[in-house]
Amino acid sequence: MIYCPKCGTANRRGSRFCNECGAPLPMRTALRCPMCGATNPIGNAYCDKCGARLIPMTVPPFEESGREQAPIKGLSLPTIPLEEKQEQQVEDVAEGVGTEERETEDWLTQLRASTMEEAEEPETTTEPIEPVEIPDWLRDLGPVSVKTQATPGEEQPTTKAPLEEALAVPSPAVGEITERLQELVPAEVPDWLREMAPPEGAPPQAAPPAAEAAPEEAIPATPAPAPAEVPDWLREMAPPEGAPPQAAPPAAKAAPTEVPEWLSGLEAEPAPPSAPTTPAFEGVTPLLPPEPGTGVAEAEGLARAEIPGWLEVLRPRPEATEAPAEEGPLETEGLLEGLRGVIPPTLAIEVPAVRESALSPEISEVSVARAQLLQSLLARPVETPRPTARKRGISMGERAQRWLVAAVLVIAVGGMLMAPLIIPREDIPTLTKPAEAPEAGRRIEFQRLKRMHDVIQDVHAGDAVLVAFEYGPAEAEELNLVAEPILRHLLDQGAHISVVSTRPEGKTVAARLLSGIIASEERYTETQYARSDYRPGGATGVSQLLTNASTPPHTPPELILVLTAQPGPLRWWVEQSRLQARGEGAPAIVAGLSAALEPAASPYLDVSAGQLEGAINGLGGAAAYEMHRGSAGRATQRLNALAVGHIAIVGLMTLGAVLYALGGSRRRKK
Amino acid sequence: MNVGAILLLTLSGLVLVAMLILRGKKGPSPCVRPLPAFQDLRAQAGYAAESGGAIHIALGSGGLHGEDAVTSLAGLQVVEALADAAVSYSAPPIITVGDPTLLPLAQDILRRAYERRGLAELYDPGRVRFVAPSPVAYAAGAAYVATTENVTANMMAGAFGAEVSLITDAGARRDLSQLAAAAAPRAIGALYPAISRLAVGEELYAAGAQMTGERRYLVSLVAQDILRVILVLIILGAAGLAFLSNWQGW
Amino acid sequence: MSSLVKRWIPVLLFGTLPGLVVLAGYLIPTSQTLTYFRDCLVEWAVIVAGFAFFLGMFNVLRIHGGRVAHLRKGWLCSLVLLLAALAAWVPSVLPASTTIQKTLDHVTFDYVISPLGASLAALLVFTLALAAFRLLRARGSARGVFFLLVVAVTLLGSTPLANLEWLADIRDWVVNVPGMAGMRGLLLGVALGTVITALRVFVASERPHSEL
Repeated sequence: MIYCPKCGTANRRGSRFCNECGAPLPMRTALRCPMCGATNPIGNAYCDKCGARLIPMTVPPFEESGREQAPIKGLSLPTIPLEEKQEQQVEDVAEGVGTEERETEDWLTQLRASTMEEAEEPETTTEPIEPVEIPDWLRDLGPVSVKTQATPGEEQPTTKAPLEEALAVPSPAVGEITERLQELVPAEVPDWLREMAPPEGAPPQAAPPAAEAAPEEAIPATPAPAPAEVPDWLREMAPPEGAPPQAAPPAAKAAPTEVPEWLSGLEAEPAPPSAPTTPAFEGVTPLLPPEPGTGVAEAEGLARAEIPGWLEVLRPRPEATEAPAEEGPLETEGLLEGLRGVIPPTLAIEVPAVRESALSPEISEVSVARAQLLQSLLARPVETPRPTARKRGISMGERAQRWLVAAVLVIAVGGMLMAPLIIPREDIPTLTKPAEAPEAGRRIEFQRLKRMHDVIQDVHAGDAVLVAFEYGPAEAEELNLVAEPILRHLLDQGAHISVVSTRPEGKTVAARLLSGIIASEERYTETQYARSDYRPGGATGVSQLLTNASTPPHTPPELILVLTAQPGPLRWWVEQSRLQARGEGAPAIVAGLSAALEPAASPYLDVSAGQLEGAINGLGGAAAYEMHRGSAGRATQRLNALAVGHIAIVGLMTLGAVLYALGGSRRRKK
Repeated sequence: MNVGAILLLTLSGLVLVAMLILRGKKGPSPCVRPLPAFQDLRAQAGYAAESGGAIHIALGSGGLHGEDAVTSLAGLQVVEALADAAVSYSAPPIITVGDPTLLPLAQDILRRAYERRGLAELYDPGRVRFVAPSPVAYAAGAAYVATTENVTANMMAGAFGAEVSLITDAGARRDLSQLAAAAAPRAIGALYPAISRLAVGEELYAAGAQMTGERRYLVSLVAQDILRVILVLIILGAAGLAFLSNWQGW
Repeated sequence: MSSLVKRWIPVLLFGTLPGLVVLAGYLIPTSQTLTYFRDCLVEWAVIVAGFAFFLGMFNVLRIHGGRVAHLRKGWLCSLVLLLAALAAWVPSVLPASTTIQKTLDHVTFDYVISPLGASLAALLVFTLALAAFRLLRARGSARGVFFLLVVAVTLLGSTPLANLEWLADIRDWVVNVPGMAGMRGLLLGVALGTVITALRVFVASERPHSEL
């Protein structure tokens, strides 16, 4: 989980923004996209924002030498920890294996490597930088001697030098410089830097005046870096104390690396009189070659590194390097205090060197026109057109099928319903058989119907009967036909009907139906239809209705009739009535259900269960009830239409099965 | 209502779930057999994105009250699992609900998916629509959405009845890909002839496990399986005893 | 501690505890206290669900009103919907038992709501019949054929067709033995899933309203 720094809400791992307040969530490390600058989680191959590729496709040229290099991800995150790599290289150097070649590549690799830590982790404390051993010649370059461990016997300065403070700096800008320098300084000193180091024993050069004022402005003190090991080869290569600076050994005597022409050319040139006398280290940027005659110590035996071609291309021209040294701003703090023309470290690290463009400054009118067109297009607010899904439809064959099914059903069912209007009833063929037939006695449905009839027959005049109308207008067409014979039977018995419902439209449906039934017979009176009550809440509503019905001044019901098309209300009434009447005489429950509910209601109709005394299902059950009572009602009139509808549907199913079976076999044959 | 049985069932389920949750943190993830209704849904989301359409998710007429509450929550798991992918593809689903209590939940799930992607400004609450409280009216409204909106697939997951056939017919008229997950027998009877990728009964409750793979859903399925086995053994044992008692005249 | 305060205490206080009270109130109806609290909590839930209808209404107004306002595709149907909703709402705000209120109520229910509901329900017959017609396209296997046979037996046996009483007996057996057995198994499995999911809600493991 990732916790939002703004509101503290926990978010899923991988989330980039808080799902409550929208604040960006911190990422442990990130890759900065080279195109849009957005930060992406490590491991992304493409930028989440603009889609640019984060992992370069081409292999850097120096890898062609077969050396194993750290793969570059995005702009940089070396996969091999720098410390491990440095240790490995120190060991190799100690063994004298390919040192020179590795040196150049390593400092380039280190220069390229950059850790892009997000600023959202304020709790991250800067680890104390381990003290690094600064070689004597480098130490001498600084304004004040640096605390080291490499020269035993030397007094450790008690005051912290700007260099020392700069090396142990927490501020981002100088800290980055320090990191770079620390990466550069320990053990792996590049050739050009080594060559520029003054010989040992040379008097320390005067520090620039600004440096003396630096201590007050220096970065807050941090523990001094521990000295790193100066490899033996470096120490051996350093010129002996007191020895004059030596010229660079000829190429033949050096290690088998070729000196580029520009480097050898620089060595031959005399030092310009205007060259600064400040320590070469202070006056050199990482990208500038060592200037000849500026105090570079060319120790004997130092091999020149092979500069790869791509690096040579980046070499700045000599005339270009002079101006920045004189015209640039003066650095007043940090390691480069007192220097002019120093490229800001952030720019040096993050922005590649700018090369002079080889393009002609002349721009044609065609290019101008294109640029203006592009600009106008970009300035226009564009809504990316989204493709629209193709307009789907069905084939003519499927349309024909739909029309066929509709026609068959309308003709079959509608025809049977309309037939009594056209044909005399006695001439209409009867497809169904009355339920009074002896064979019907075996049927479970008839047995349940008979039980229900007997229970209602036992209701006396004035007995309270609770009728639950648990259906709405959509089911009313079927359930009204089911409820009507039962309600007529109850009214014939003189029962006192109370209507209840857990559905808001139940009362309205009940009022319509009962009003119609009562109005159809003169012997029925409005007083038999007492009150209606509505309680929402499902089973709780049913429980409240039962409680109210049993509470004075109301008379506890003798019978409960549930009319519903859903299994839920049936279950609520059965369960709640049994629950409330535990230990006392529970009223009998009968039900008028939709035909589709028969399977769900069967468990309740089991005689041994004792939950539902009886039930009728659908139009068929209603017609059977009417026949059992000896009066044909609306259900019996519609029974023929129901039978024809069923036959029509079965016929359509069979036809469809045959058609698709034949069509499938024809496709298989093809 | 047998109080003892229900309490025992609840307690055993609670204990089992707790044990499995705790145990599940260390052990390997349980396997769930693939259900085409949910597995194909992600592919449909991708197709919707490519073709510029959207998936229509019908959550049914159940709400957070009543006995359809849990079924509706299971349907919401589908929305939750699909929301992130759909938002990433810039093809948010159109969600229709038949009960207003589901409306703010579904909207919140979609909104949080946008927030996670940092695209809060693109969230449109109109993607979640309350159609009608009556089941049949809801089905008619959802069918209207399936036929008129730019929809490439129909997913029905939640509390339905037989009226779901209106939605499937509308989808068939437009030749849409259709997937469904229903628990009610009447809905299953209406869906079975029309849809081949159908999750039946308790498979609906496997939606979260199938689509997200989160441990809490997988552990719940394991607990469900264990309780099912216990229940089957109890039923068989009771049936055997009843048979023996009738046979022996006990 | 913050996790306890932010997450667990509210869940236990406003989720698990009321749920257990309602459950106990159902299971132990003889306890007056539990029954009272159960009824209170359920009524509060019903009231909240009722207020949720306002959210639904605003959602409908937003979607269909926006469609009408911008004349987007289907704006005419949206306009009819809005007018019909307004017409259905009017009788409920009129004084009860007045003639106009009764007339409007009668007209709205008898001539609009009932016929539309019945028509939609009748449309189910067509869609189900069409789905049965194309059954073998979706389920072109032995299962599909078996499904067709069972449907045919059930339909023909449901009506007391003359000279086909034996079919009614077969239908009774199919519905009450294998049919009911399969449905019971299905419902038992659904009930188990419901219990487990409800338990997840109880222990705050199922929280669609939150990211946790």
